[in-house]
Amino acid sequence: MKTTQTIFAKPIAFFKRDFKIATSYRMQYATQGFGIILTTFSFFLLSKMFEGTQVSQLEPYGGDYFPFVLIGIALTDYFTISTNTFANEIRTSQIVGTLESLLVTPTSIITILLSSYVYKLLSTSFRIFFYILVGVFLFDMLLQPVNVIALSLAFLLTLLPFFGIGLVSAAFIIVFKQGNPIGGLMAISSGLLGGVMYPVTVLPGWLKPFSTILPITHGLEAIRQILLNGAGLTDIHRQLLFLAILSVFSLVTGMVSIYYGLRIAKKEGSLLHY
Amino acid sequence: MLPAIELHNISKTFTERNWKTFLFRKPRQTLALDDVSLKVKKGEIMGLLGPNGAGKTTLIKILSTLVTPDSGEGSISGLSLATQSLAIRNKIGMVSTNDRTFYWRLTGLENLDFFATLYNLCGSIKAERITKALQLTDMEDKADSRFMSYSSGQKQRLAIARAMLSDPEVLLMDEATTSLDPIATRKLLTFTRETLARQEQKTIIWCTHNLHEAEDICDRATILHRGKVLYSGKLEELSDSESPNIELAFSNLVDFFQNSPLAGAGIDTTRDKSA
Repeated sequence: MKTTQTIFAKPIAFFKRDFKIATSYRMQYATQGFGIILTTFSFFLLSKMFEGTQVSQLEPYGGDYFPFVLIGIALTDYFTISTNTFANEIRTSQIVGTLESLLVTPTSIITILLSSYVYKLLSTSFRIFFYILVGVFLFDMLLQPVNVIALSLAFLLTLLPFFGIGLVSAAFIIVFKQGNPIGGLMAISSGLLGGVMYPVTVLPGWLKPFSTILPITHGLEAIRQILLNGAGLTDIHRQLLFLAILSVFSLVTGMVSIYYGLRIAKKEGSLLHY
Repeated sequence: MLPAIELHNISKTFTERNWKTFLFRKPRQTLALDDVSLKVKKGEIMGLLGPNGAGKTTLIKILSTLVTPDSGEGSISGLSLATQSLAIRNKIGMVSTNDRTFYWRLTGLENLDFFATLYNLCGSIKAERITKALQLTDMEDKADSRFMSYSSGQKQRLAIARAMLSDPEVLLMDEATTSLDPIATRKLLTFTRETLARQEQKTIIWCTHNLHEAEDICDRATILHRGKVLYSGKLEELSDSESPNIELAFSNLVDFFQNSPLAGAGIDTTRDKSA
């Protein structure tokens, strides 16, 4: 039986690898921090336009645009890295040349991909924490006491479908090497139709059905309800159920895609090509 | 005793695939390996020789489970290449000429620590294996320097140290001396023969296109040409009265194969002296 030490050893090893490589480029932290302050400030200024006016579409979220959009952009950061990390790990390893040395070890590709996510998840969490700090301390954003269990569950169930999509993207990169149409399509449709910058109620009627099939729409809705309206599990059960079904479907699709992607690349002898 | 490596009738053809072959023309096919069979005993150094494009690297990739053969079967330490690839990867160590398989911004020690974890090593066993691998390759003094600061010889030695981490039964060494100067090459050959093969009892596949290097280090050799095994046996037996030196013997063998009307007809032209 695997001990806790061996189960977590590989994700920790990947975290250490990525952390050491990232900290060897120190300048990126300064530019990232500066970027967050600028982004937050620009949305703060944008929200000033709506100050004192009643925007009916924002009423379900407390009526204030600034926390609405800040939650949207902060969480989109998570969903984007969840979709892209696996494909990026494969692509970077192909180009840099480390893929061969990873794949000749007795570690499955799924473990390699999931472990490569740890640093991204933690660094993104740190970045989002920084977004919130900037929002609260520099721009007077108000935070409500929240239901932590509901928030954690909503967050996890929103991430999982993106994991599945990320695995499909990685499988695509394994077989076709370049381009990532699945990740690209997901990023565009999520940004446009998922309610990141504006509520989905402002979308034209013919676009709304597309919006409802995206995991980000339901994830953002649930998380905003929890953070801005103090909603609990019962209030967001419909979104959670939809996300749970989508999670199972996309994870199974992702695993199957990786399995077949590897099979095709090994058969064609193109696994290490780039 | 069970052979360390056993291959039976392995064939592999690569098929070109792009938008042109999808829409307009028949894909080109390249025969990489044609009915290759091989047996390597435990502790033996088997040379894999042949000109560029002979199929050596494809064979190494099949042995390291990175490429699936079209037909035939094989095993390493009794484990099937087709069905037990994860278990096989615990039994093999791979050394290639590509120094990009390391993380350049990490130190040698950090690289070894990372890969040791991927080989399921942890705690004191991991520390012992890393120390032993560094001692074996004489890299203890450079372990805390970044990989990017290493010379070609040091990079190659770290590649061997990494391959030794899992204490593998089989070492696959693909053109391991390519980027080394003559002195470093000599050191690596001696190290491979004396330390890895004789002392550590590793079974080694030494893949090269350098005949003298193979003659120096290998117990036996398999010569590949256009994916076919031309010869398998002791290299000194390849040269005879007609071909007194190994280079002449090799070129005669290749010429014989190329000019033989039998070669294209799929008839075995192999001269096997290993039996």
